[in-house]
Amino acid sequence: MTKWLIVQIIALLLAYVIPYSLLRESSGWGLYAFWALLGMVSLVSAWAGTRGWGRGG
Amino acid sequence: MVLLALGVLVGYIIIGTILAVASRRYLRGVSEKEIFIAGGRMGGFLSALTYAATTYSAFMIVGLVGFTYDWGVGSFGFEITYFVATVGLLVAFAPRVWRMARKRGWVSPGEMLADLYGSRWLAVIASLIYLVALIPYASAQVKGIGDAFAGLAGEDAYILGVGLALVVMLVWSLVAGIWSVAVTDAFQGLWMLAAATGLLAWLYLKLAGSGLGLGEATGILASEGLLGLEGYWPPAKFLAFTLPWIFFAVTNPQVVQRLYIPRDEASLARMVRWFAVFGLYYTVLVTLIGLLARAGVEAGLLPEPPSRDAVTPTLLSLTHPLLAAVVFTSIVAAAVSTADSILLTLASSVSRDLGWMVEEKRRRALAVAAVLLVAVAMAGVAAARVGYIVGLSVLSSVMLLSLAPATIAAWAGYKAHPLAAAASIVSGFTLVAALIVYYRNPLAVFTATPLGLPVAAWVLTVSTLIVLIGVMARRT
Repeated sequence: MTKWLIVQIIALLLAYVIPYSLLRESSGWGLYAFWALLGMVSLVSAWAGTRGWGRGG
Repeated sequence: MVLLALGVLVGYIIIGTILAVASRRYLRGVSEKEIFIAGGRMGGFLSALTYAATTYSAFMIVGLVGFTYDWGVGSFGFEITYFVATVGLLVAFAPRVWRMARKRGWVSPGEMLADLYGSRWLAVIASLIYLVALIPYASAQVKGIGDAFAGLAGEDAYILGVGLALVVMLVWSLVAGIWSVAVTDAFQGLWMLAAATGLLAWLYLKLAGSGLGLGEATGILASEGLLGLEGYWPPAKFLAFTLPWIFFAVTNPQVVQRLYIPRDEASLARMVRWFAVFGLYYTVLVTLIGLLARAGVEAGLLPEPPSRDAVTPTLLSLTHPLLAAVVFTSIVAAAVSTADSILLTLASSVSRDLGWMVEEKRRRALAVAAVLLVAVAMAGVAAARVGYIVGLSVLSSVMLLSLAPATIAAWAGYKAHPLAAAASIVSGFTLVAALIVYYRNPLAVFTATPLGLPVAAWVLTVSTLIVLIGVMARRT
């Protein structure tokens, strides 16, 4: 679970940092796609990070 | 259109009421534990849908569509930031909270704080803050239903909408407590997803049929700067919008209490997973509706809405009446599913945390009285159209934010002295209350940036420092 938690924390930090640095000048769908990607990463780590629950993991 | 909308709404109420009554078969007795947390026996998928429908209010399909229309892609960013933080907090703490709730017999969220810090007064303080922060929030949901009725059938229908919301909330809460609330939440959550999917599909096909493809829409949105942050989302504004919401899963009692209800850890895992699926899908849907609507307006294919909150109603006036009726009902469903969950949670706070001196056998009557009292208060505030109600509801998560440091510290096993925990919670809340009085406008407090930082950042800083000092003091 810990590694997936780290993924979530990194995703949250990137949600603030990248849009105001690398994607600040974004004019296409790049910014939307980036945040959607972070949402997907969060979704996947929710599934992976909860896999062991109830099985002592 | 009006008759069709009312017909679909009546159908929704009938189906919801049948489901609420049918959910009584899950009920085992009428103890507070059963009424408020389902005796800790709820399945994972049902838990996920009640978590999602409680979290995602009418703000999504009305407010967030309008935000995205007006302020562009940054609105998606602030909602995704909430989503990532919530899923992260659930993955980090949900199993620990679930185990402690089961072992120690927590029913209300205030009891959790009282038990973790060993002071009953913390439950009293937390409950009073819940009432002050959440009655306006729930009232704004009821007001939203009144407004929807007024928009559909004229100003006189406002009070009819408020009255109907009151009756539906009461019936769906009292028939089988959290069981009927969760089952109707599941029905309403699925309705919300279906309605938003239909609205987005209709909008895309309408624009594409008029020659506005994705490429042209992108060009229009980019030329308005709506696909970037410049001009619309300065960093302080983004922080002001995101900070209160990223701690929503920790500070809002109606979702904290939902961590107690799954029947086992496997169900808890299913709750987190399916909530994540629901949340991401719904967020993408409503923000795309807002962006496409703006592209359509700029291209002259759609009429310009008179205000940000009128974007969805304007779209509904153009769709097929049946789709409009389904989406209209989804707005009511989103408001009801949030408001009745808050109603039940606040009732548990009143009966368990404020009424702890009442003997056990009279608590059930107190719980029912609390449901009635809180519901009437919500509807009363909405019916009276109390000024600042929408502003106060926007500010609710800022008001609750001071609960985050003390709660997270205790969940992580770093307990401060109870006095420090109480001081941390009260100081942050007092700061917000003082600023409301100073600015005389709750919305101004939300976006104010004293010394360059939003109020939410100050609340979080002050409350966190006090908890840190309390933790260190307890360890020395």
